[in-house]
Amino acid sequence: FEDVPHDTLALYGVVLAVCGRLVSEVKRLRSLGPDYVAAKDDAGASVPESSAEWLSPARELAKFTKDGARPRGKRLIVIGYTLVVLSTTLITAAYRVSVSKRARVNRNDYHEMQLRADASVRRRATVRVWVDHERHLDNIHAMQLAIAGVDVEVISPHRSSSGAFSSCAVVETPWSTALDKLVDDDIDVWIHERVKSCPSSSYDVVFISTDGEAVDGNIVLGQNRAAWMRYDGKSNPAFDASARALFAPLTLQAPHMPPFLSTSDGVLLVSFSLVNAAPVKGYALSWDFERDVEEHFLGALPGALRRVLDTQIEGQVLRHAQSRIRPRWSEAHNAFVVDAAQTPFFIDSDWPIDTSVAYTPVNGKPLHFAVYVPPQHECPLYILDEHEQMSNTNGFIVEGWGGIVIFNPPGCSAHNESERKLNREEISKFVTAFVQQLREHLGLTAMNLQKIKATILPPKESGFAAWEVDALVHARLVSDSHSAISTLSSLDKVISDMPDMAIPQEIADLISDSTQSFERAIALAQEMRYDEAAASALHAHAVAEAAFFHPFSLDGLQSYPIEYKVAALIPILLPMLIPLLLAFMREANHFALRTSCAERAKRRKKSLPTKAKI
Amino acid sequence: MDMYPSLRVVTSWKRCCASTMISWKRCESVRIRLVRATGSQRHSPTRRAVTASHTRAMRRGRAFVVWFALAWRQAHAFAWSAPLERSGRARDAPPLTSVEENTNTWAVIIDASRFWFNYRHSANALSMYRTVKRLGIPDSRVVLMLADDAACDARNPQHGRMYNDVNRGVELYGDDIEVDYRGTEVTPETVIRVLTNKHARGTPRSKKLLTDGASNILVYITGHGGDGFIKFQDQLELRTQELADAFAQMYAKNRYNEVFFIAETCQASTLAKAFASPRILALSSSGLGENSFSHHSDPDIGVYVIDRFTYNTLEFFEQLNVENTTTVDAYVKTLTQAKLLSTAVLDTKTFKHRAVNTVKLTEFFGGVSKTKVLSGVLDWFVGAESTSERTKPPTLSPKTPSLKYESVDIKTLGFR
Repeated sequence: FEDVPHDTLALYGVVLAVCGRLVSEVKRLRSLGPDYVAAKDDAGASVPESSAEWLSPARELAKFTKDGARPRGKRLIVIGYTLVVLSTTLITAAYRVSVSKRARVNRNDYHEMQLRADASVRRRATVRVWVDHERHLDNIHAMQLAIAGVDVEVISPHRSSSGAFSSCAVVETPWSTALDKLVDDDIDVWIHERVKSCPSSSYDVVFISTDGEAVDGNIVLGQNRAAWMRYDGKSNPAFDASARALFAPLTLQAPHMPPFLSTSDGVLLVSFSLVNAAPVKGYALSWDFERDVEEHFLGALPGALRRVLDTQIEGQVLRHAQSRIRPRWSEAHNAFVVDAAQTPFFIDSDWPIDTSVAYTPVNGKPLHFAVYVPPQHECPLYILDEHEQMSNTNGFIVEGWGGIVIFNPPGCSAHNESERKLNREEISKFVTAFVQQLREHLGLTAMNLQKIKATILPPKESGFAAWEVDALVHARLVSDSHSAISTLSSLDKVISDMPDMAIPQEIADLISDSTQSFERAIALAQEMRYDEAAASALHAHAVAEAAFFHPFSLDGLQSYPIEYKVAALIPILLPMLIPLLLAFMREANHFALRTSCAERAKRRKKSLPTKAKI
Repeated sequence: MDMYPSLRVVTSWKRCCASTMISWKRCESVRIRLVRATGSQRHSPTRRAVTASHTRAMRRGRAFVVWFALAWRQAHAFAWSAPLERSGRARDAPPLTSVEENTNTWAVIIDASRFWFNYRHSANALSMYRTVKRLGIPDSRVVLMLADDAACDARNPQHGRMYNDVNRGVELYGDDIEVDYRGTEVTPETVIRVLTNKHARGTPRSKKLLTDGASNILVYITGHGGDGFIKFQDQLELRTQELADAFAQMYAKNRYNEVFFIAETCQASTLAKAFASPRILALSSSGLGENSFSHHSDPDIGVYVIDRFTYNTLEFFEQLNVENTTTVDAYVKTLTQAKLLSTAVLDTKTFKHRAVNTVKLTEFFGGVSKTKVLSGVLDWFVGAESTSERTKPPTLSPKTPSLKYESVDIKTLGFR
């Protein structure tokens, strides 16, 4: 027993001692028997009145048998009552302070759920191919077999007389004549208007035949979910390969989940800071954040990302927050420069950059985006990349934190006003850099889009094309359903490993809520309704996190280890209940003995004097 | 006749029962057979006459103790809802993820003692706080807990200021200090809440330890301690098992990459003895049965101002900057018995995935972040203001080259 903890040994010792005491007590009570039996036999015969021995067995039994009256058991009642009341109170109290309340928690087979979540990872899509030449239909069917996970639906004027119909799109034919005259941006809007009511997992590939005009067979990928290709109406040798390339966006998948995308509450708090390193009068910058940055440039961004993240934007101006790095002067660049190796130490931990330390709208971390205005004596300042070249954006990203862009005031010179507001032209520089950094943070650059020779219409307004957001939505679905499962199974493990931990009913409810949401997400994903599935998976993730990080009751311990039990229970139970129990046992024994003696005396009395009277 | 069935344990019960409940699952192989004593003995009759009753009584008593202990254990193992094959704390769990790269560093710095004469503990904690901040961990990633406000104590002649040195070289309280938990807020419960991130709704972000699987965490705790516990607020205790359970929960949720746990109390190494989660490095100022001593007092202030362990630690860290590559074992080697008057114990029992001489101090004390200079520029973004012009339905504009938008090559989007 050398390794057993002392408290456990003490508990065993106490329990053994109590058991031993009870056993010896029972033995003692049983051993009373023979004395009394001997006394009983001559109970009626001789009662030594003057016995100095108080309540000797003989005298006691003689007393009991005086008139054969049954004992009323007053002492037994008093002791019994005390025992019942005290033991009820004390045991309840002891239970309350030492046994954790554990609600019944559903145990799920998380491994099996994990497998089902894995099965939903594969992204599927519907592609409507708009073909107006009968002879290309065969190629389409060949393609359908070649690309797994894509259901191909053909829209063709030859299929019906009036126009081409699909489940959700109504298209006038022939579209080629209308589209041929439009520029690419207008084609994008035109197609989008036609397929507005279609689900987000369906894409359009439109073939536009031109009137014999020389066309390079260029593929254009729009901002929404459409791609199109102009061709001259005759057989095109690269047709098959090009058309297959059109499906490339569908295979977008994020290989690694970036942290800012996987927040459990689905909120992305973007915090902008204009950091004036060393402002002096005439060399201090400010901005009208809401009007010039938030609305003018980033107005469309939250809307574009809404299906993935609830983007919240905030801004502030910091003054006197200098970098910890002293840049070196570089003759080659004719400027102050910071090497790439030094960028990890650029941000000073003293910058009061966290805007809302006292207010928590989000569980996760904010994405910081700092615009650094160097001091006048270190201006102009440039960030060098690994090849000692000035970076185009003059900034860098910090993983898990955000990004920094250096803004050198024009000419590095002071201005007339004491504090000048940035104009939109200046703002556009770092907002562009921010959008690039945000795309990097959300993992869009890491996605494996096949190298296709396509022209991509950039999402000029919002920064994120619909087909990119689709990929993010699916990535979120996968990540959230996996996070929900892993959180739930961690919680399950914690619950079963820590038998003393209290589990309120609320946690059990949250667990079943999370499980149900997960099931719903999987079911929706099977129906290719990825937006709803991602929302449901996000809910499952959020609720699972809430269950794991549930604060329990806000007072008291959440677990009662064994030494606590020993310390709390033994002083309550031992000095009060054990003596009472022993006394009760003795008294009960006594009562039984008295009753039996009384019965015997009564019988004897009944048998003798009745005959005498007659 | 025998009243009690005698008991035979097939495998060694001693090995199993001697360990704690964690290893009880190993006892699955133990089979207990209740065998009625038949009385068939192989001893010679004479010997049996002398010793039979004696040995039988002894055997019976011993068997009862064993049976009782086993039954008690087993009853509890079942009653506490953990089937035997499922019990076993996080140490038995396969790691959820592989070891990730450290991308962010967090620090939890705890001073557990209140009252003026424990000035040195506040000074210890504040010195460590200044060190990690100097090495680049921002306030938002430091949770600082001070159980008493020694700087503003009425007996402090240097009112509002604190020093860790009789020469008063560095003013610790300074103008920029963010105490996250102070005074009576600092309890074992708060520490567990911070570590396990189980907070009441509305707790500010700066008071939380919002770590992830790539976070390295420095936990520094100073105060008065004993075998397996540290005292909070002069009357509460934080036990090693509670700390270990908190770390087990963090591990289960994949909330840390590596933990460096430093304890500066008496018998400090016992505070780390129950740790079972992987990748926790525990450094203690003293071993079991040893006291941890203070360094020197300031006669003006009238109390001891710093402890030996922290004093020597600071002396070592003075030479470091954030780009330094000194390793943990080099640091521990400087904490000699002669300097501390106690034994600095480096506990690596759960830190097995790499050697200590490869662990850089700045991985825990410095805020090193991973950066990436982006090349290429996104020249197509124009912002939301153009949206209003674009939402109108397209007109059938004639296709002229001048109206055509400049298309962007895919490479500039950053796709690879």
